[in-house]
Amino acid sequence: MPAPNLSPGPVETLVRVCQSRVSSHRRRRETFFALAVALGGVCLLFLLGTRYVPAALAVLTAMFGVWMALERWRSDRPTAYEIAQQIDRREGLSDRLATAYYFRSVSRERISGRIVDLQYTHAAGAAHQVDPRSSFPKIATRSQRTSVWLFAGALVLFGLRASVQTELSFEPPLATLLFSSWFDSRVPSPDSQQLSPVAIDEQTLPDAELESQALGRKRESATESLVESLPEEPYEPSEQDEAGLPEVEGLITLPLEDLEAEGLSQEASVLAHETDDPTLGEQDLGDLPTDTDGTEWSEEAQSLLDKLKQAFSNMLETLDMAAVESASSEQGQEQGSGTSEEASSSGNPSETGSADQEAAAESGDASMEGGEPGDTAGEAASAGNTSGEDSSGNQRSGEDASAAGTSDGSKEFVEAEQVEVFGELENLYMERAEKMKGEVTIETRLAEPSAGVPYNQRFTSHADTGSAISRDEVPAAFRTYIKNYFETLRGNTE
Amino acid sequence: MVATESIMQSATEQIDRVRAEIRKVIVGQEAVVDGVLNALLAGGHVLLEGVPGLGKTTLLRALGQALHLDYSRIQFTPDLMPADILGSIVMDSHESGAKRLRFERGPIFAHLLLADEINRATPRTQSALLEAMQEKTVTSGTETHNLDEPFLVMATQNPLEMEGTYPLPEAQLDRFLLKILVEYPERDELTAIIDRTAAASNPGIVAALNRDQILELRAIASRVLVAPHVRDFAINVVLATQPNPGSQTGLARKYIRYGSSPRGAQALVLCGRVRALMEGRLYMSQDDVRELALPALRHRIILNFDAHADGRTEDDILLEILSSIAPDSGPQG
Repeated sequence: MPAPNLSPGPVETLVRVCQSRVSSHRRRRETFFALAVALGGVCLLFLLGTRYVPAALAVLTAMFGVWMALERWRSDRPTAYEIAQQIDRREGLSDRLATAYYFRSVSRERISGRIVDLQYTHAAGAAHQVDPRSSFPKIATRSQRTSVWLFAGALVLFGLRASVQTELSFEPPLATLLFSSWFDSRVPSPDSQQLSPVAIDEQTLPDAELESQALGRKRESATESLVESLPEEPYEPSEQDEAGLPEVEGLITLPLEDLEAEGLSQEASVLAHETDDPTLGEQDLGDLPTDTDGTEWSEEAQSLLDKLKQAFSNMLETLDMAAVESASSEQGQEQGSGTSEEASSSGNPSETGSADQEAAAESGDASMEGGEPGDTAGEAASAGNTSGEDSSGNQRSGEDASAAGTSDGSKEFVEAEQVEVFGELENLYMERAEKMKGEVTIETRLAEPSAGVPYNQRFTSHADTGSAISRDEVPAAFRTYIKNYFETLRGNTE
Repeated sequence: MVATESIMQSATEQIDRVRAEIRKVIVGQEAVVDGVLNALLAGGHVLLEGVPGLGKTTLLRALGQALHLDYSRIQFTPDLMPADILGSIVMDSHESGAKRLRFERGPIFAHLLLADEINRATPRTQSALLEAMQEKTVTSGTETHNLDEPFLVMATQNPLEMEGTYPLPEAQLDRFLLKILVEYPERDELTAIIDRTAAASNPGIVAALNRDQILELRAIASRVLVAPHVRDFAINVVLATQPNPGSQTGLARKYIRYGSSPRGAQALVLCGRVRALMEGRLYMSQDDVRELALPALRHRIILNFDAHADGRTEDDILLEILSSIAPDSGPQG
């Protein structure tokens, strides 16, 4: 058996050439990929400026693109065996080259049998006819096209930035530059306004502008009048004003000197210190409104003060009236103490309820003596029940109190006697019922029984079944046979 | 190398001669003829499915005459018993009066066996073929008899008139290397069939190969080179038919209930080698896998209800799987 010829043959040579072409193609593709990423960063820089995209970020983007290209280069690197398969696919060789290359170069066993040699001979013949340039042509990859477009975009962005700036700067965003340049071109500069002054004629101005001018003048005059109306001297309270306030318990009025002593002046001084204005504290204190000078109050404040005074006076009158009523109720309670006890027993056991019942009893006594009308008791009872207690029970207790006071307790005594008599009568009837014997005849009125639901016929007659038989339920194919069958039966019967 | 090349050339020529002899009788049906030859040279069996009258029995007879092999035909019926196929033990009387039991061989003892309408026999009788097809042996009592090589079972079944039939179980279907669909002939082919039928004399078939040459062709076919990327492509096709979660395509999960067994991958490689040899190549390619995927896998996958409801067939799904699998890149070299 001759020694196998394992030197690189035409198949290996073809695969190596194609592999070098594929490698160069991939190098070019990955280079342009890195370039595209870097150009993307540059375009972003030109578009947004260093205000949003620092120059270091653009550099980092370029480095990221290089790193990604290297990773892609390492990961997608095809082997020679895969290159041979690609040649087979592109040239339609049905795995001829790949099989020959594998069994001669890749296989660990390096099979050198006759079959392998013969197959390699056939593959070598095919390899001579393969042109690597046609199998792996140089075509523009997507990354190349993208790089070209990004490069053109970067040039355009740079040109725009250079055209709108007198001194080239990458700091502001391009949109800002374009907008400012466009706005400057549309709005005339102040110099041009000075060069061509225009006399404003009020008659030629539109109505809106006239109105705005009039409004401005009105606002200025109002400000001046307000400044003139302010008092020039700081406000000082007078003794007359202090005496004008009503003396109300709980309402404490402090003179201004005491306020200053308690720290209000300190706050003002702190405020003045913070604002570096030594007169601020004095002005604030002087502007504070006081109740000593009635002339300094506004009308609204004066009306509020009057309402407050009226409310206090009403409250005091109410308190005086309550004191008088309590004195009169004490007198009535001495006369009808039994009635009040009954009222308290029928009412609620809570404290609020008992207090209401006492008030109701007091009012009931007052009505008995003719001091107050009876409605007052009911009102007091209902007013006391606003705390959530049973109002009906309290009203009934008030009525009972009134009735007991009239009969002086004799009504219950009469009722008790009547109940006792009725009890004896009931016992007597019960004894007679137990001793009663005999028949009892109950007479009722005779009536004809009638049904609520009308009677209906719920079944069909025998003649209806004949129509059911003649319906189309019998298949047409069997109808004749069935008819003959029944006719035969009928004939036999006859 | 010259000797090897001559052997390969002679192998291709011999196969072409057999094809030519069969074409004398069978008009058209090249795929069927090539499939049967492929199964014969690969050492497998073939299942033909087609309506009656398409020349299945004629093909077997012509193949037996062209290959100079013994052939027998069994018409499967519901009352056919296993002993009718395998043979039975009979009492043999000697002239001297002595009697002994003797195994009477059945029709299965032939090189080519036509099991006509195999799905009409009971499962018991069908399973009698299992051992013969897989092990190439027949066991009767305690005796095991070897079947002579080459042994090819060519079973037919009728896709119509399924009432009263016993569909082959999956275990037995898996033992057929290829399942070939016998289609209706084209118009020109039908014209040729009529002309030949009307002819006065039948064309005589000359034996183009003998048993030893067939076995030699088998040996050559087993040495056809299969590169790793081609082998991996065949494996990918078989794996794609299995509806497991790691399947490459979602088609299998959607339409296939049971995918191909490893016998499917074996069939792809075995028949791919023979096909390469029949085309004069000493290497198998991915195109061979694509061409043989349908006959080698269509009876090894079981579709689910969704596939039947959508009107999808095994061939449709296999074609979609083939188109969805990218050519394998092979191992890193």
